[in-house]
Amino acid sequence: MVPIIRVVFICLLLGVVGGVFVYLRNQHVQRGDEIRSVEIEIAELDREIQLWVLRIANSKDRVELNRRLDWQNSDLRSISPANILKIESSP
Amino acid sequence: MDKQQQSRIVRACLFLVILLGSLSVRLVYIQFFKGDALSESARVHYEHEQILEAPRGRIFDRNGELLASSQVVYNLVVDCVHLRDPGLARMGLARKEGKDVKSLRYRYQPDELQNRYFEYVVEVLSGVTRVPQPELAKKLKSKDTGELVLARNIEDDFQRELQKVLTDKAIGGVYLRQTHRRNYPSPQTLTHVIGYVGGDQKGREGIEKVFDTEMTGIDGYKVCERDRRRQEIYAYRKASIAPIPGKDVYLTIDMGLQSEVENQIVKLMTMYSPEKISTVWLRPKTGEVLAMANRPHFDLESRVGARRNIAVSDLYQPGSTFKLVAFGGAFDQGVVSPDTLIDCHDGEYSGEGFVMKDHAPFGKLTAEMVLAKSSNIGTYMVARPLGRDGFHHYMDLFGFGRKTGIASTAESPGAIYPVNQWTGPSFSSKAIGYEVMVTPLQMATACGVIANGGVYQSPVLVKGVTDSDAADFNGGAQNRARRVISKEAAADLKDCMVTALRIGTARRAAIPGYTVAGKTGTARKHVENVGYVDGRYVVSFVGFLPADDPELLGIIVIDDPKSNDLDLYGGTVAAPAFKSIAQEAVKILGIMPNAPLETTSRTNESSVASIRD
Repeated sequence: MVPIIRVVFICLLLGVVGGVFVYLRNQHVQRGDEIRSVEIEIAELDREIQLWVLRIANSKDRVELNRRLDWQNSDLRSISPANILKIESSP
Repeated sequence: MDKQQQSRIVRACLFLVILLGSLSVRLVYIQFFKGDALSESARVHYEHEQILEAPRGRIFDRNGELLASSQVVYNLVVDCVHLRDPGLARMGLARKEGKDVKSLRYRYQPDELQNRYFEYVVEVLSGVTRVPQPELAKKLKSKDTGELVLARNIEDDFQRELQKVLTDKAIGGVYLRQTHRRNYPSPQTLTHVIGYVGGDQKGREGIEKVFDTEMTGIDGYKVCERDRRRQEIYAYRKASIAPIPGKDVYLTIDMGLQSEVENQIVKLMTMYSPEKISTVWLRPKTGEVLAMANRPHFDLESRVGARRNIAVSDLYQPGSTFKLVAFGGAFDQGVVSPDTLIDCHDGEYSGEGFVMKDHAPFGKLTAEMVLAKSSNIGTYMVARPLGRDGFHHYMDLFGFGRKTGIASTAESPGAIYPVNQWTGPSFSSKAIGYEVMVTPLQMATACGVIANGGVYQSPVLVKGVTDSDAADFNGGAQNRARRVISKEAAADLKDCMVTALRIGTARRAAIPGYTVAGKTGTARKHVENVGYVDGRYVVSFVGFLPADDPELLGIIVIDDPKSNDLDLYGGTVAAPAFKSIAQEAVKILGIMPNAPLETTSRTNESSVASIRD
């Protein structure tokens, strides 16, 4: 009987090891998927930041700005850059 | 158990041993002999090498204002074959009708299925792209195979919105394909300098081309395994090399000044309808170009217009501004001083087999007044002691006939021709700025020699090149400085130029509060295969300020201005244009006044007769 118990024990051990291995592997893949989705989210946010940086830069185009001010009949139109005071930030 | 049974068992066992043995042999064979090849072919299905594209470097002005940047955009693409796929059509219609895909299998005839799906796609796409349905339907029907691009340059946020619609509505055969676009926030400004990129994101003109290697990054890659939905299994990611973004280029340009310059030349285009205008503004001490603008214009968005950067590519005969070379050489050699009396032959000289004329009869003038009044005959008399070789030598020293080395495409070296190709009147012509071909930038740089106390500073357009986190800032092309004329000669010539603004032809360029040194130029226009044309001129002005400690140097060249109520001279057209730009520029650049404000109150009243040239 003893060898049979040994065989059963070894089989159980192997089963447990296999189960743990599969469980850990699944967890690994699951965490990986989570990391990947965070990576994708970061990349999307990066692209969104870039997009807004560009949109802000585009909106600062002097020609376009003047055209819009002109269209709005604003008193701010055609202000020469020479008449704009630049306030430097304090060190 | 009888013997027969035993024999059967043995045979069965033998059979099993042979069967399993041969299977084992086969397994061993596959594992050891075919293993590599089979795992390789399996790897193709689950392993994927994804290229991580490196973004192209950006371009900034000297104050960090963004001038060019790459942007991820998407094209809305229709795969014409997939659009006609019955499986995809059933999935789409099932979503539309809220039914099961299988239930549609026998519900519609193939043609009906196709038409219904087509109408559904048109309806959905028309809603999101705001293209009228008939127009969209016509476009989709125009092609049966291959791809059809429905919309280009879709920005990231709209792309996500679109993707959601396509997924929610189960539209198959329509995809959003990622691509890159070069974005120029100011597409109407500094266009000739910045240049542009082609469809392959490679520089084609201007800074984009000159710094293409630096701005092109190095693509990275990652090797990963993908699941059956072709999505990456992060846990099995293998090698991963991050892309190295292209380097950013910082220009010496000040966009505040640039926009003022562009505004002014637009006004000049309206006032004089010239063939061309070119203007360059630089800091003479460092050679840094602060502004550079040309007309005809080039639109970076539509890519319509003249692509050449006239300031560095187009040649013109400078006329009287070139007299600075003759005076610089003569002062440097000590053959003439500002006080030397020069005989201007009362407006006509014909002593050497050719005739020279002045715009007004001058008798004897000091050399200083010869320059101030811009006498042609007087200038030749000043240059004559240098001899042909000497004069050619100074033309060369001032940088004419060779490229300045500025970071721009298609720079022209100009043409001053070797002495042995000169004809009888060539020397006199060249002394007054004819028979020489120069670029506006060369002329500005030559004037910079006088502003810099006799030292030539080659112009620079790039302040530095840096990686994207500004960690490694390398200076731009080092400008080369060399002495051309002595400090004393440069000071004398500068005084003569100040006189030209005080009482000479350049009076209309005077700016209250600043001492300005400058020289006007009016050259008859030379048309190829026609010769010099009467009544058509290239007028120009080159000058710097404050004269004692120059911070700003500018040149403006107006080719063939037209006006019914104004005599067209450098003094009447280009000098006031210089003034209007310079008096705004000093405020933008913070250049402090160095002279009393009333100095030039009478300049605008000067008669045209006294400022010809």
